Amino acid sequence: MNAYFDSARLLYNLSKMEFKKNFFTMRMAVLLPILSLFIVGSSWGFSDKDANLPADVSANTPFEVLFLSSLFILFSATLGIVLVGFDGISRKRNSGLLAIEFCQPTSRTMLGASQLLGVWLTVAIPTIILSFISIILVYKQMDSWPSVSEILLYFLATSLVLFWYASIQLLVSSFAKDMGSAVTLGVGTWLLFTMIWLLITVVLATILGVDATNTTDVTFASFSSKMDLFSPNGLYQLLLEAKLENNSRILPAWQLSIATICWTFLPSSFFIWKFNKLDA
Amino acid sequence: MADALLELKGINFDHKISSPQILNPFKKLNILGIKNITLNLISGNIIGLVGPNGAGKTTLMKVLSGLLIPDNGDITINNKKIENKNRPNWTKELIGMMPENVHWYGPTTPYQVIKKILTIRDMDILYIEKILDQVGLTVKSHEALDTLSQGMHQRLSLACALIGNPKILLLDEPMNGLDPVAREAFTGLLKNLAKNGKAILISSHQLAELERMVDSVILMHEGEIIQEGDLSEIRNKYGIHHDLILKFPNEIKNLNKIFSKNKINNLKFEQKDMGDYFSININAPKKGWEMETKQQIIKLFLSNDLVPFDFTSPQVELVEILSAVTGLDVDKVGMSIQRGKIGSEEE
Repeated sequence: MNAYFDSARLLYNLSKMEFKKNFFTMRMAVLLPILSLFIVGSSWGFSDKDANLPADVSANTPFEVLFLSSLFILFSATLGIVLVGFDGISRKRNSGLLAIEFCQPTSRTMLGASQLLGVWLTVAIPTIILSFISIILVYKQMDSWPSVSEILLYFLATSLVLFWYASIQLLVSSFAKDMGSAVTLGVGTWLLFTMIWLLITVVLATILGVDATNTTDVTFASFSSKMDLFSPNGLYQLLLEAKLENNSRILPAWQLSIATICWTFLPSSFFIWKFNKLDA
Repeated sequence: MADALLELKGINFDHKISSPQILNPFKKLNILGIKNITLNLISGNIIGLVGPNGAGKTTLMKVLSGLLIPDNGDITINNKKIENKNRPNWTKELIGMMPENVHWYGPTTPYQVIKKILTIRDMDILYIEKILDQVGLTVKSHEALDTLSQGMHQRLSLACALIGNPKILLLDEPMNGLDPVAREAFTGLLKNLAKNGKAILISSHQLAELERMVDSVILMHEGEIIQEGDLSEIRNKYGIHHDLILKFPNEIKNLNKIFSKNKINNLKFEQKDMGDYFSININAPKKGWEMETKQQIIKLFLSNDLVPFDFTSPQVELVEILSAVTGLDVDKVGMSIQRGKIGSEEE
């Protein structure tokens, strides 16, 4: 029991150190205003009763507002993870600092896990704080709170999607040999899931004979929801959509659960495995 | 003889280098790293690991520190054989490694770096000041790494290696970037550490800087240990000795007569007019210089009222020793890069 406690304490101390190292940097100085504007600003805007939203966008309840602002989280906070983590491993390796850390009598799994938690917390903590402020602003505008379960789901899903991105970023960073490939791999994976995934979905739908010209079509909605299980952004949206009232993309809970478990454990485990195999 | 803290027996390691091809993107090539390495590190000894670039010094250091896992061979630490597949933490506690050319960057300070390593080792941060003081970094302890000189960075790397008071120190090219004063201090520090029972393996491609501090040297070439032992023994074995050079302000007219009258008349010598002065180059005996022979030569000149204003014997360069040991020409030794057995493939 003591050994587990000691390991947990060491992991906490190392993660805290990584968090501090990442947080007080120029990158975060750039990122924090962006996060504030995107997360708080979008909630404020969508919850404004006088706002002119497109006809197919519904922001009648506090949770619908949070769901819409989650798109801005997907854009800004995941980009934040990319900024913090894209060279998390490669830079250390190229500078020789990783060799010094690997020479210490602490397992690489512990070092890798602390690195992962450090990157994740660096963006997740401000994102959650800003999301909390958003909820207060939504209440101010709409005079109504989201339910506790909606708030918990919102925070949990947001934390998870950032954790998935942190795992992916550190994983690709551990493959990168230099700064150029670190940027390419880091931004490339972000672009893939943020920008290109819809295109991949449409192309695959067309190949498989699903009508992709009408995105409101039920068959296409069903197909795209299944495709979204394979994307962290898509799964994040699916998790939040589960609480929406008018949702045409409902998937069975077991599918969402398995996808969530897979996205939580597979990239992180693969990263830890790769970290253990790294040549410093 | 003291027990070896660390023993290597028949260690081999090949680097697996990615060589992607269109039909085989995961193709890897095996490049020779180190081959059939056998050595012992003994408490209180400083061993110099010498070789040209690409000889395998850094690879050997990484294998010793556990950063690389050897393909085969035996590693014994404190008389306990270590499995190749992993390196237990207790063995790492015995070894402090200073990697080559660590690039310390960012606004972090030496104090924070040491604090982090102590945290990784789960040690008390009370040791920070002591460790920084040991390497002379106390004054700079709260300055950003970006603002520190290369010498200071080297000291910080050494400080990291000293954390946890390891019994074995592996120092890869530690003198890089150190000024002469820092080198002197560094040499003193290492001698002191060895006196306190540490086994130190220090790599360099500069023989002269190691000569003053090491007890013995290991010569590496193309991944193999080609010679080891006391440097003077190696020199004697291969007859690698330099001339003795005496410098005089004026020409010595009766030099043949002076030498022929004495027991040292079997030595060959030559007087050269260097413009501002005259130098007498006395060829080294086959067995190398003995202290008595040198004393006799000085006495010989002084007894004839001839006082040299300089008396030197140039350092033997690494390349000369390597040339003698490998049998290759001096020009070819440094350029021999046929060490990679490129072609052995691994998927």
